[in-house]
Amino acid sequence: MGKGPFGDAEPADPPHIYGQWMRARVDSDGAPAEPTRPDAWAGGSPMTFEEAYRAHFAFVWRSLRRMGIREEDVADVAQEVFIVVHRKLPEFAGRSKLTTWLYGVCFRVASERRRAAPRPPLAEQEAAAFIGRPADPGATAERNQGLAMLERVLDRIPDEQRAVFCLFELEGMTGEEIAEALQIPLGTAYSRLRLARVAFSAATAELATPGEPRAATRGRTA
Amino acid sequence: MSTSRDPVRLFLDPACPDSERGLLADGVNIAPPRGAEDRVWLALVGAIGVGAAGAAAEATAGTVTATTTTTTSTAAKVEAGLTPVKIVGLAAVLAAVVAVATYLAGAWGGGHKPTSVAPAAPAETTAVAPPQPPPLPPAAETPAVDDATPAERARPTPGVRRSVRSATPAAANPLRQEITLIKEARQALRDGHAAHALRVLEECRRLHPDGVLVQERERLTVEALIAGGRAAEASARAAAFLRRYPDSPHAGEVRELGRKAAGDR
Repeated sequence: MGKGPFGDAEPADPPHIYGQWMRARVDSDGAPAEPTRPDAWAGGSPMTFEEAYRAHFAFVWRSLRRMGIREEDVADVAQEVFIVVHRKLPEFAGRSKLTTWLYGVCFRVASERRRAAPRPPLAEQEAAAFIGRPADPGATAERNQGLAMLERVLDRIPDEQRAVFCLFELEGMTGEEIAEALQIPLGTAYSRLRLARVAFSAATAELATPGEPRAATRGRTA
Repeated sequence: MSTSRDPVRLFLDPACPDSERGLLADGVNIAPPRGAEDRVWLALVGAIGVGAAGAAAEATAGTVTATTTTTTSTAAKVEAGLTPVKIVGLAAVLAAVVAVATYLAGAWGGGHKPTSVAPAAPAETTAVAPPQPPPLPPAAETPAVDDATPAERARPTPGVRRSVRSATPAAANPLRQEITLIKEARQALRDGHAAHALRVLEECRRLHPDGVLVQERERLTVEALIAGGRAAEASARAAAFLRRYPDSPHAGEVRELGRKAAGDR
């Protein structure tokens, strides 16, 4: 576990929230570190369905939420994802990392879901309530507000770019893992990330800080 | 693994404005609410009958083993043919189905868009985290329903089964409808209504010939045929299943059922 999830360039103990989160997430998934998981599979004893479920339920949940599945629907959609996983797990056989494969299943199920029942846009007044409102005393309420805001911002990013963005910026996957999860060339993953960042900045500037519109792009996307 | 071409994460970029960093942190910290993992697992057990070894299923197994032994015909049939291991496994699955159905009727019903036939579903709720599941009823038996005619099946019946169906906007989502039918068939089998189970499975076959739950459907069909005393058909069906899906997660159980059916003949 001497290596950070982003490779050797990552400091061993990043002194910021992102790093704290990354460690907490890895702990909560019940695995010591991301890179050991595929090895555990390749070692000859495939995970049972229930082991895969227990190890990756949280991953599936947050992935679906970031794809735009609403909180009230995500339990149902997660169930559908795992029904597909149950069927296909024998075929998977450790060809790739389990999470990248799972993400592909999530992506397809969520797309189908959106086709069947397109999500209605948040009502304008509901959206307005999130903007410029003083923070609620409860941290949960505040975070829910933030999540709702994030959903609105992400909804402005085309689905394929959004997927790359969430995997890279929120899940902490490497470019190569993302390319594998989405079955796209690495260069495509990078270019989608660039486009998604521009869209993310523009939407955040417009929605989250309506009082002070800013230029959407900055030098860091280069 | 080469990650050298990866740009620095936005969150770690000093140039990232606070407004963006705040949103990223919210997205990073998304986690299922407490209990969601077990609730979805129970729902899965109900839908696809995966091994009943789940923690939540185990927790209820004791209760329902007791229930099963006092519940007349189902238990008798089970004991007549299946090994003790099977009985325990089945009991746990049944427990889970009851729990899931109860839960769907209560907690999840609020999350679904209400349909026109939703007598048991609570009023539409606002978008909040799902509440904790209700305590599992030790003997949540549905009122006995005779093997129903199609007309009777269309009639809203109070009880677990109706609640599951009414809480599901079936038309909007084929998989959800398929899941509902499979659960209904499983429930009918549990109640000792083999003929009704077979009708539901036939409906499922007609509506979802290439559905996601084809294997579950076929496995239940074998079970229902055995329960209905049609051992020869059950045996043929089990053999066909094994030819078609030799690597199925259900292959072991279906093989066992086939043996049992062959023995019954």
